[in-house]
Amino acid sequence: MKLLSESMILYIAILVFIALTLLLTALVIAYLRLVNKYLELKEAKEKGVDPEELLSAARIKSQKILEEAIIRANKIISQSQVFLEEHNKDLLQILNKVSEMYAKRYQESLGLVQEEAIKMLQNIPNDLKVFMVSAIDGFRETLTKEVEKTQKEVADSLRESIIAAQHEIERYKEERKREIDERIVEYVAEVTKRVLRKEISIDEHEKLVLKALEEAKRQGIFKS
Amino acid sequence: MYKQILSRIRTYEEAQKLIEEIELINEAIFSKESSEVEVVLKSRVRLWVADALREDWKDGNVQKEEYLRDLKSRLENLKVLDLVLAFEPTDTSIDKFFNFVTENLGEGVVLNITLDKSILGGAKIIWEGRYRDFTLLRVFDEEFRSRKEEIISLLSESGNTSKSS
Repeated sequence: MKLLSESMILYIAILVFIALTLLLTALVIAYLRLVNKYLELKEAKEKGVDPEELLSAARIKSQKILEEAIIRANKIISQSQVFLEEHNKDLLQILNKVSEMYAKRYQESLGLVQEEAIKMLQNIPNDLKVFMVSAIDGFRETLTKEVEKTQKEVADSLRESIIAAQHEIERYKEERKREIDERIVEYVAEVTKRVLRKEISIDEHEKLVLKALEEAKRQGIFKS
Repeated sequence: MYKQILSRIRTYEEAQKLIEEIELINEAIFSKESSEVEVVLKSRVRLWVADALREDWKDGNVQKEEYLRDLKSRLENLKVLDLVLAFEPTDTSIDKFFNFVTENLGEGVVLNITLDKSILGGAKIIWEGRYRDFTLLRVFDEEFRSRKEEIISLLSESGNTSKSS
């Protein structure tokens, strides 16, 4: 629509321009004839011709030309108006046709879209159901896997903890056993020493000291 | 001279005791009373020491003062063999040890005996800066250390046996 109105304005402008150009041309021609007449008069005057006559003749002539020009301009303008009216009719017809065509197509498209939309709307619950079921199944599966994984991890962790605790207990038991054994050995040694102290006679003591002296001599510590 | 006295000195303790007695006699020699020496010999010196001195002083030419100084000097210069023992030695024990020392180190050596019952038996010997440990304790500890595992094993076995029975 906007395009059509723009082209129409353009046509009108061209026609007005042509009319004005014709008018201007007529004016220029009239002016040139007037100047020519003036020169003829001047020449006639110089030659002895009556300027009053020449002027009136020129005036009449120029008026005639002007009238002709105006008539021609009016004719052109009226012709342009007719052209415009004719074209307006055509344009309106075309516009109407195009509008009708667009309206029809719009109606058709609207109908199609409506049908599609109805179909889509009708399909939404099903699709949604399928999608939701699929999503829930997926979620359930993932959740089950995660629960199983967590259970396994917890079980592994517990097993490891139990094994570590058992090792620790074993190590502690061994350590304690070792400590107890060492204490027992120390105790046995102490008891043995006490017994020895009591049981060794003076005679045996003397023998041990003499043996020590003999050993010292053998090792050469008495050598100076 | 001195032989009778010195032969009776077997230990450092005995030497010190004799030095104390010599000092007492020496003090008596320098006193105003001439009978003071005899008093000391009778009342403050051991009988065997007094008898030995009288024997050596029989000869009137002996200068008592010089004699005592010389004897003290010999006692002070005796070499000492240190013995750490686990028992209190009897006189016989000391004789046995001293005889060994005299035979192997010669005269002029005395024993310095100290008591340490923790060594169980045997002796620690120190001679002229050299030290040796011949104690029963050392042998015992070494034996226990080397056979510790065996002893633990034996103890475990006996413990298990007593439990099962």
